[in-house]
Amino acid sequence: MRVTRLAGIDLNRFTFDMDVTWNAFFTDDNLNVYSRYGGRDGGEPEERMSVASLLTTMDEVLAEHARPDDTRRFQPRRPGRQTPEDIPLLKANHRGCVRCHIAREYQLLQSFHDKTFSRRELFRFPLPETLGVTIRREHGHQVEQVEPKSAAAVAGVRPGDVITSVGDVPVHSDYDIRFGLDRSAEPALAGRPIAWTLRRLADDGEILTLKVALRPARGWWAYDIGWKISLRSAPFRTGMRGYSLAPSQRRDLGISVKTLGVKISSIYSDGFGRSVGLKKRDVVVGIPEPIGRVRLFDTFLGHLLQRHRPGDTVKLTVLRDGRRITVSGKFPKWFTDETSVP
Amino acid sequence: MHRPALVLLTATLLGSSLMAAAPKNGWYRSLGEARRVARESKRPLFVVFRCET
Repeated sequence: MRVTRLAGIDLNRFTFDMDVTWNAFFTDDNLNVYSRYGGRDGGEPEERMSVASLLTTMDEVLAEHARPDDTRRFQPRRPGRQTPEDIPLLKANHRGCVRCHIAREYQLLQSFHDKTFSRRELFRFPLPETLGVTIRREHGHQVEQVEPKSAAAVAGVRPGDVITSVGDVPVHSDYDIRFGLDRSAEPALAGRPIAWTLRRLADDGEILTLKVALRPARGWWAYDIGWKISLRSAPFRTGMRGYSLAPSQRRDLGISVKTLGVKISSIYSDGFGRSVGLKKRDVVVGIPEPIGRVRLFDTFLGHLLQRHRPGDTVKLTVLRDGRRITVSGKFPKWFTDETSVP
Repeated sequence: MHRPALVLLTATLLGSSLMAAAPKNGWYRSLGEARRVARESKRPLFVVFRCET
């Protein structure tokens, strides 16, 4: 079944990161969801997927589907039904095809104007890396590495463990992990431990089932979101434009081709740029430490959003008139006066 | 069953269930029609959201 238009689709059932261009669900004939498959991060769009992991998910879904009706395990869903047309701003302002990112952008705008927006809304479907684990791409939900001292390491997660549930979400894919983490990051559950179930092959060949509880730090769910097109509708008033310098421009300025080098081309209104004291022709080279080169200005904005929240004092290392200086100021309050999506 | 064989069977089952009476490009565009076929074939649904320009 292929869906290319979101009109009429129940977003409370088919919940996914609508900034992607491809996402899949496995369901029964009543559209109860067994598993989700897809998702991306700041890398290449298909970097988190593989044919092998898709086959793993299909294998597990068929096994689940073969169970007696009353013992099948489905993923939880938000109660009620919400289609894109139920978003008042979309209904009032949008004509024509409802693309996935359009629906997402209207959700963001609506939540801001309804005063329900929170920073977490920008970081939906957090990566398992935010808790210190990387997932083996060829499997989909087997732990490849555990970062020392991370929430996962402290909880006892080990390389080779297969994650079989996160909170109340049965897991058959990398994206199921992210769906489980997304539910765990809801404000009502903030501060509570996140329960994972693991399948582990013991040294004696026995397969163990383990329950662990992860206790991450506040705001653990923030990750790189600079690739998301929906950022343009986030209530983050930058008040500035800019671009990432090309290698030849960097050489002229004597800065590395491997680290941040974003030139501010205009400061045109109140917003982030003016609030932290940036000026036209400044070149931002650190936040304040050097970070990796970004190819797009939006990626720079994503880094700012990942590190800061309104009210924070932000420091930036800047080249201005040939001198390296630090500018600082408050991260502005969330604001947008937009009510429609271009 | 040997795992590679099981995986191949998995793919075949999923594929064949949706290919049965499917439109010529192999994909249903109607959720109702796809659900009906899934019900009759007793197979799960593979629902893909894809942005097409």
